[in-house]
Amino acid sequence: MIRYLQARVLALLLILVLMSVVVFSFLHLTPGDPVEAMLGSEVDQETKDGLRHALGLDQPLPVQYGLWMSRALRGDLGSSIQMHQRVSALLAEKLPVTIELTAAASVVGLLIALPAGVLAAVRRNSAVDLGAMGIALAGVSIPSFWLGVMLILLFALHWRIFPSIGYVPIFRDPIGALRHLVLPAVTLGLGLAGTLTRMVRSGVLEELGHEYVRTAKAKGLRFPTVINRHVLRNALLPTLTVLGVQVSVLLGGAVITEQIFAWPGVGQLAVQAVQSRDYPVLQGSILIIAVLATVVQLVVDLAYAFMDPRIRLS
Amino acid sequence: MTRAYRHFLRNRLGIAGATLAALLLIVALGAPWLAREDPLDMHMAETLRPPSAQHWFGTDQFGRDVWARVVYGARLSFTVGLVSMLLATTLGMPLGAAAGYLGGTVDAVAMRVMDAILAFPAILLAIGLVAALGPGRGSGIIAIGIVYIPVLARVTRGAVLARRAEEYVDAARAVGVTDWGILRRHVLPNSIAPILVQATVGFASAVVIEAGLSFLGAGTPPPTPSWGSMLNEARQFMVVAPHVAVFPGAAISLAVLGFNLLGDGLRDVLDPRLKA
Repeated sequence: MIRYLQARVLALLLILVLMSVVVFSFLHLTPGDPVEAMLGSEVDQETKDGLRHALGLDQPLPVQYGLWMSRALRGDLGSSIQMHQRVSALLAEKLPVTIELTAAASVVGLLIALPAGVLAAVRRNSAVDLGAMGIALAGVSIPSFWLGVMLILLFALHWRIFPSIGYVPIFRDPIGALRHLVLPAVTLGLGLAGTLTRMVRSGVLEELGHEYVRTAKAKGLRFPTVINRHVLRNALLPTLTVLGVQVSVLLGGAVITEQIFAWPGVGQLAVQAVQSRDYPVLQGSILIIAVLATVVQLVVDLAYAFMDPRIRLS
Repeated sequence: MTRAYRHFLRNRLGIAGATLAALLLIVALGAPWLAREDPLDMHMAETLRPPSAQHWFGTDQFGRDVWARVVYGARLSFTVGLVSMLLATTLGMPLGAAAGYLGGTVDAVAMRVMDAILAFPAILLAIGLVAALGPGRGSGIIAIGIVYIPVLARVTRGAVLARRAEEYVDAARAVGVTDWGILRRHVLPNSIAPILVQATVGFASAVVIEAGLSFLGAGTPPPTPSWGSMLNEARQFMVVAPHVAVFPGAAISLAVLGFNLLGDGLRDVLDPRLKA
């Protein structure tokens, strides 16, 4: 396990370095002068030179990367050009909001996928199976930005069950926070539910074919007990791994969901940064989300290896 | 191939997907004839009208015909999907083939770089790239293409690795065929199936990412009809005119569903080992 852990963490560090190069290069892909792109062409030369110097753009590229990276490692991602705040302070304020949304969406995804996947597998080729697979397919195909807009239209504007947009901190008003959380979490979670339902179904189907299921049934266990005690435990392991990979998709989807529901998270910050050409904020937002996605995936993989020795020994 | 073709014809979901994809292609190609009106023509006296015989999908906030805009939006979506996947395949396939066939340092370096790109959520990387390249349809296509290079490279690498060990490759080498010749004439033609499947599924994602970028205001700029920007503009008017939000979204969903089903169907037929 220790050797597996070492190998995985080393691979993670290498990927993080390469990711930082990608994020760093965003500013330098910009055609023309990035400073002019940020400030506009009407600004005087002195202001432009000031920003160029502040961003270190007057240095050779490798030096620029080295400086940017050494500051980033100390938690300094520069200052926002438009909002006159430290990028790290902005991210510290916005990241918990994004994590809250992503966690809630994962819960929604699991709450739908577990029963739907198990039922579909147990009643294979029945109407239940067809229905569950139809919902799964819809979940994968309907883009979150349309689903979100439709949910607002129906549940907020038409039936007035939930508030349409906005964010309430959970510690200030737990009930209000939950009411504001439902529509965004469902919007983001339904796509995940689609992917997971298919995984759970194929996992359970595979396990149902094994001999231990027949043995368990033969010794007189009730079928629900067989499913709960034996089948689900084995079938859920691969589903967990998929959930790890899907966290990256969820964090990407959060960008759009936050925009629809006016949630003040990192995604909304990134979109504002694109619109105002605030490159330090954009770089910081993308880097923090990508790092978070990668670390979560590593944690899930490690948990999987811990539970299943075949993985870490192969 | 005929056997695979017959097998595909028995796959009902695959056929449904192929039909939806073909429909999208027909609408995209026939847009000038199907649209009935210019998608950019504004009629300020007829804003936000509900669907009618004259305007099948109603009109938007500028009195533009929503049907015409959805039809021309199909053209944009199809172009973005096709060109971005061509770009990703043109760059990703040789990269993955080289990595898989040569192995060693080339493989290790290329794949770690691909892993780093894959580690970003796709839409987020596309947003960053579009911000760097400047807004517009061209940058959207390039950004989506870049995001998908690692996916195509990985699939090609896997397929090439599997083929490299086959006996016909040893036989070709024994009779003196060069590495390039083996790769071009024997390994790649036998690796096409998974690449095709991945490009089809990638097409669906490209349509969603383009619409997502346009929805966020970072994709195709107005007034060009794009399903994503239509949906974004519709949010302000959906209380009084829900149809402006319903139709572009339904179009995106059907297009994505079509290419997803087609991809799944192709996978079942061409590469049964990958079947989920």
